[in-house]
Amino acid sequence: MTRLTGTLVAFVSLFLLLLMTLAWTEMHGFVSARTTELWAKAIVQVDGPAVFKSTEAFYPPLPFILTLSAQWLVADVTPVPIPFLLSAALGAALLLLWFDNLRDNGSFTALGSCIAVALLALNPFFLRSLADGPESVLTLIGTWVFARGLVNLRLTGNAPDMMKVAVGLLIVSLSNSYGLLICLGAMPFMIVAARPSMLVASPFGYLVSMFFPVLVAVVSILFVSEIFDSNLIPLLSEGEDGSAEGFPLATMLGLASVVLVVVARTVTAPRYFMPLLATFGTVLGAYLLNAVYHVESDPAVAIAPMLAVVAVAVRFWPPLKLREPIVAMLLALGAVLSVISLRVGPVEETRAWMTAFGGNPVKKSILTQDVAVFLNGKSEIMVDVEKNAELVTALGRVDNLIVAGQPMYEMAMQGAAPRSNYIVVRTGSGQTGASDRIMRRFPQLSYNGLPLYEEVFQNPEWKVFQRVES
Amino acid sequence: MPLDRDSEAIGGLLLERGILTAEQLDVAEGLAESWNVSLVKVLQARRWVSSEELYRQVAFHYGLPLVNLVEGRADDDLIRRYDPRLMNDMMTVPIRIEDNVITVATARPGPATLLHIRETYGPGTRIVVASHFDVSWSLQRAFREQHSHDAVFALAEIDPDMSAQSVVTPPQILAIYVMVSALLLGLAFAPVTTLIAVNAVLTLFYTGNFLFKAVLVWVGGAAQETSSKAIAAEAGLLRDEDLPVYTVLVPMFREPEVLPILAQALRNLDYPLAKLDIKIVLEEGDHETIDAARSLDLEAVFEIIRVPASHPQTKPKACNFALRYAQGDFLVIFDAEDKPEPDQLKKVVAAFNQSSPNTACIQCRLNYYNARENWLTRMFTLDYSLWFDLMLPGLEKLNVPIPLGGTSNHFRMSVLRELNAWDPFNVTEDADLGIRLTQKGYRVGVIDSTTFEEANVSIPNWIRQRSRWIKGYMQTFLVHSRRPLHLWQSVGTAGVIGFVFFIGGTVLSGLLNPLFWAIFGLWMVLGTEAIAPYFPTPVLYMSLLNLLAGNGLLIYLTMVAPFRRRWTDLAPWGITVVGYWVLMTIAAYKALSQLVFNPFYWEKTQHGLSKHTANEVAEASAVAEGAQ
Repeated sequence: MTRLTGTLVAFVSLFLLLLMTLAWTEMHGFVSARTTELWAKAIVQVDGPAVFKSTEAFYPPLPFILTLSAQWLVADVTPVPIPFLLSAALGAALLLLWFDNLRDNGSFTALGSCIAVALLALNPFFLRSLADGPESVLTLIGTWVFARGLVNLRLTGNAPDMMKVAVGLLIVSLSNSYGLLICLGAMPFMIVAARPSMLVASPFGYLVSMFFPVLVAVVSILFVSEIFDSNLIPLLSEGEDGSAEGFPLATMLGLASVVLVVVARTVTAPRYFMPLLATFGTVLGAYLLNAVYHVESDPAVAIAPMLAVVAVAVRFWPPLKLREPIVAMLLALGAVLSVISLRVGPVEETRAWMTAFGGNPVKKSILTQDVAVFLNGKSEIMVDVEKNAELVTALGRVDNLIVAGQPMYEMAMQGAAPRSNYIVVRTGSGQTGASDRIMRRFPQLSYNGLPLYEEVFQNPEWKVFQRVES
Repeated sequence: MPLDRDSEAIGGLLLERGILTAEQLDVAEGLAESWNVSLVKVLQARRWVSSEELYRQVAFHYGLPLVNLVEGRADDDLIRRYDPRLMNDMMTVPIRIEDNVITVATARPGPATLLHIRETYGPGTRIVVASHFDVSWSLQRAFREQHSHDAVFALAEIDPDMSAQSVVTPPQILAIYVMVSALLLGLAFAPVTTLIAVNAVLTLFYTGNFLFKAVLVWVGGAAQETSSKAIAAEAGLLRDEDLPVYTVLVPMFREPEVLPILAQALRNLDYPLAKLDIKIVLEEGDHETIDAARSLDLEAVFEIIRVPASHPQTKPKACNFALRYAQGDFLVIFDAEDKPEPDQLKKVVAAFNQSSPNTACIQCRLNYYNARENWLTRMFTLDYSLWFDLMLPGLEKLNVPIPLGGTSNHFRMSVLRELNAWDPFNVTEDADLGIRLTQKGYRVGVIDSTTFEEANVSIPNWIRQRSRWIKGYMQTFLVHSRRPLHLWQSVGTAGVIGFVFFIGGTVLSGLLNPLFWAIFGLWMVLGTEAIAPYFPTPVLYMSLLNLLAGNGLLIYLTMVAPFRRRWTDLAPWGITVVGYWVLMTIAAYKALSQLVFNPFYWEKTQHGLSKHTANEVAEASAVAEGAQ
């Protein structure tokens, strides 16, 4: 078996295993909000009418582009949610990269590398990122590329390592708004990690070069948002999730403590210790900033990139006789501590994921499924697809929807009486009245309905109105 | 190696006659032993004895008459009957024939030369001694017309497909005619569709161009660390006695002021001076520089080659002429103001030793010693750092033909002669030769040794220089795209892609930039509606990618470039590279205009404008005066 064949077999096996974990939680009713939104956007963009006009910015661009491409390529051949496929593929690729890095660069044995990677994959923060969607997995990948580049840059000072740092920061900033906080978190620690010879000539030049790609990415996103007249800023922050019961610091302790031990082991070798400390500080800094700005509402997802730091740090564990058993024990301990810290007051979505992962059903999605079943076979359904992504994914199609950009929708928004056969709005706990364009235009839908329309379906989450002939 | 008997005897003679002191003789003998050369060679590399005196004593030692071939000229017709290469290699020249007896002058009397003279000129030969300068000068005079003609036309006559003498060939004219006709017909019958198609092609080209450069930097940045260490290690272990004779060509034109710097830089090389065959190549009419060179009273290893006036008056023609008188196993070209790292020649010898036998050329890196003089020199330094430190190693790693840089390219002499050296009609003859070497099955290597030059400090001067380079790239592209199938067969698919993006891309991006800048300006001023008909969604997205990611990446690569040398202070200047692109565009249009109206004109770059160079000249002149 050639190396390429072996890699392909390993990739496919890992991909299927990771996909199974996603299928398991979906089977029990859990699909993350991000996955739903991303998939819905892809369905509407690829299968929806050409005139569809999005009011939201093309953000985050990297997962969006990947999902659009995959939707265009494979949506007709599989009913599996496209973000699931992407998450599993990206996750499998990342695990293979970790394996490769430990085996080839860290001189671990094949068995030792396998055990280490398996323990990293079984860490609940990795599985939670996977379930959260491609955005979180890409953030994990970007953090790993950044961390690896930062350590190598200290060791070699080569252009490709400098580019790795920049590419890593670019990936995180283009994959997730939380990635921008990681970039911010990295700023002070770049100096800690730098080779003294690079700072001697000009610390300013060094920092400017490191952050230039992020700056360009941010400016580019703002520019694109401006020229397409879309709203970017509201997408950047999720706000505080009031469902959190614990203190966010507790969530990070499981992973952070293991990283600290691994990083501290290299304290006698500053060329390893300083950049590893810097990568740890970067993720920790981002996490603490997030506690203030709430760009990422789920602390469990916010601390997950620390796992990438673990993957980089264990590769630099001194090559002593008991290195591999010690690393395995540390990673196992890390997994156990992560389970404990994850259970300390998680936010609602993580709680739901844990419930589904434990094999218990999650209730909420059943309500959307009900309305989807009701709408099955009906046509000309007016709905704000951007604010009700869950409905789009539950329906799995958009050809029977009236969406923004279509004349019937736009005329109604401009003040004319709606003429579609059906109007669907969300009125339950997750109602988005403040931002749903239909609800904003016709607020009476939430209580006594519209003239010429009668309510034909209602559950705690949704209402459907049907046009009656005058 | 122990000293040979003749050297010992000549040394004793010089000491006995008080021409050398005992200390000087000790040093000279020590050097002759460690360098494995004759004592005469060592003395030619020192200024202890005049050349005239040295050859007088050599003639006395061998019991031969000494002749002066400048005052008593040799018979040119007689000289032309013999092989100039052989005469040059053996430093012998027949000077007259009387009563069927040929008198042969030699600058290297000794058993080997005697044998050669017997074999070549017959047993009844009269031998006399002449200085190296006299023998070389006699050869140059006798073969003046022939070598001058060969220097210009040898490549065009022997391998016309590889010569830029014809700017475009008839098939190329036909291809250009067809393309222009198709464009015009398209514009006439389906203007919007045609413009969209043109736009899509150009947009794709831009995307390919910036992605290719990113790959080069990524690959090139990591490529050389291991091999550099191995080369440096072997170079450190090389023994002087094993080193080959190295020819150094220094073509100059009206640059008398930098001669002292050049001489000092070459003396600073960590290479036995007696094994250097240094040719200062000057135009015959450049009396100013010739006089300056004479007045410096340089060591005898410095030889002035005077190139007869003819057209085109280009550097490659001068080098081709000088090549006829080179004596080394390897050859390197340096510009007059170059300052190569002292161990460069040794590293190159080590690199040749470690490379595959088909390695014909080693390109060293170029950079600038006046990088921080002004904005232009900073940008030029970033440009060169990107080109030589990152991209060329990337090209080498990916087996893409490497366009050689202007100087510090080191050749195997045999290959250079086999390929008829440089194309005098191409104004970037070095870039052309790099591609030609690859097409002929040879390899070009890149090593980590730098030659520092003077960066252009003046924008008009820079534009002149860059316009010549871009015109040369246009010529090179046209020459090597004449036979696309042959190109593909000889350099492979990756080579063709690299050639198109690296040579063609450099030219085309300069020419197309204003077009896209104008479209961007229109878009910003008039809004999306103005450009929407010509930018369907996929093209629009691709153009946006180029505009934002492409330009961002190219700027970033410019910022990354100086990191290898830890010149982090230069990195932020990379943000202003857009201004540099504007200058490149101006140069590109100037180059295009010259390609059409004056294709072989050599746009001369004026050196010595830098403050650093002025200081260097003052210092080197002071040293030279002190030594005299």
